[in-house]
Amino acid sequence: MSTQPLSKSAGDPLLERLERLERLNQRRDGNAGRSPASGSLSPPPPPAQTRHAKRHPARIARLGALAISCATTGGLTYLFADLNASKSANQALAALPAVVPVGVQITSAPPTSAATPATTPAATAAGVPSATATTAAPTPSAPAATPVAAVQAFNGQLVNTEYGPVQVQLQFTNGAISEVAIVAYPTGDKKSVRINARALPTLRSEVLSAQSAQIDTVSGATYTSDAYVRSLQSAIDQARAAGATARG
Amino acid sequence: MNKTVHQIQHVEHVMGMAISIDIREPLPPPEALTEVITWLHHVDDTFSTYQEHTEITRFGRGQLFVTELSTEVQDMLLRCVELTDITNGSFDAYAVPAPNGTNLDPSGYVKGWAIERAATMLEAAGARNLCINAGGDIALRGAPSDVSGWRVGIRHPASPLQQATVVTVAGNVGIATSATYERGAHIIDPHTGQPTTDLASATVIGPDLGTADAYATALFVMGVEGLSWIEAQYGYDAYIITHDNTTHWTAGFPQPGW
Repeated sequence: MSTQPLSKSAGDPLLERLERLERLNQRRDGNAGRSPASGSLSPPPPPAQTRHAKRHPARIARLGALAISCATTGGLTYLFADLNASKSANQALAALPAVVPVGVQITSAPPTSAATPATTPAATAAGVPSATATTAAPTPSAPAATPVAAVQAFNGQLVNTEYGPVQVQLQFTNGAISEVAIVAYPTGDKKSVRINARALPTLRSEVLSAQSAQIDTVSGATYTSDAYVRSLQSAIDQARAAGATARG
Repeated sequence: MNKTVHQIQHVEHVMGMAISIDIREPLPPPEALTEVITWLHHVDDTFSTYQEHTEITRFGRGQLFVTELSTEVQDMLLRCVELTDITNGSFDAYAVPAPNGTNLDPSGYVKGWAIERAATMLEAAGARNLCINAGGDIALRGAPSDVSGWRVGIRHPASPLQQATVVTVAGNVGIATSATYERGAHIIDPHTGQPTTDLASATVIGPDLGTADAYATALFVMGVEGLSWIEAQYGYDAYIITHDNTTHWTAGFPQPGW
């Protein structure tokens, strides 16, 4: 720009560009041999008075609620797990919501009737394929006289965790996530079952707390394709691709 | 109360991450999406620091002179130098170790720049309302149908499924977050050459995602003091989370709302 030193070519855009490009060469070559730690030329800026340094409104309440739910489910389960690992793990898993057949709309009144897990792991574990879907959400045709909650279920991708494969099912009631069930979980040694029993209820409460915010997308540090399958963005994408609207 | 909503939903795995493209009505012709996907793969083949044959790797190795680079790569590298000046050296594509073993890694700008361009391509093809999320960095246009804006969660550093806050934004907006919770302490302070971990996360919002991406990296390096620097950058605002879960933001950052 106009403030560059050594500007022999002021006024000629092409020469100016060449000069600036030449500096790119120099910058690269200058850095090639230098140890990164020797480059400190300017001291860090003086600490400024922090403005707006306060806790975000509503955050505390939400964290508190989450902490309570985590402490309750996780803590109790952990306590039991210590006393009798496998037995309490089974109890904890049994307390999880029932898996329902994928894509089937049922009324929410008798959820236990659909408890036989008709699990169809439609997802591949690794090497996630790219998928396109142009969706047109169904218009509510002939709503019943009394509004009955319709539950629609979608299986997430099978995720290989360090404890084994995990697959989560999202259940939508009238377009909003109403329940999170576990389709597949590791059934290895007692230790992993114990970890699951603690981890899965926590996962569920977190997804639900996120859904309450009804978000369209999530900003976060760059994650890899592998980490994507564990992300909330992945759940949002799958719900949309399946035709469920995140907002009722 | 379901409404009839037509939308295009696509997830492309490219550039080492998942890129979610969400287009609401009016929809562009299908070729527009194909073009964007071709563009993203072109960026990967040209700018990747993970691959041996890319112009960036070969330039970083000294196998190419700058004048041998395509205009596109030259322009991007020149912009990186501008950003180094603007950020007082806190963003420096020439001072961070790259996966290919060189000291040239413009990825902190390239990703946002590529996604911004993708959004503009879709807009040129007739799309008005769209959201592209590239591994956590987001380019927005317009808003979802009949609501005031896109509701964007800012991920809580402690959990991929929990939000620190949610903001509603509409129009031409880029949102980028820098943090170490996904890939470890990989953000290097160019001034010291050491990994920087002062903050838990730094999110920057502004009209251009490429710039927001570089600013987020710079802000993560600067720490809490960087907020006053962001305040001076016209059109850009920021939200940061420290390790004790205290949050700070600039005056213009969107109020939380959901």
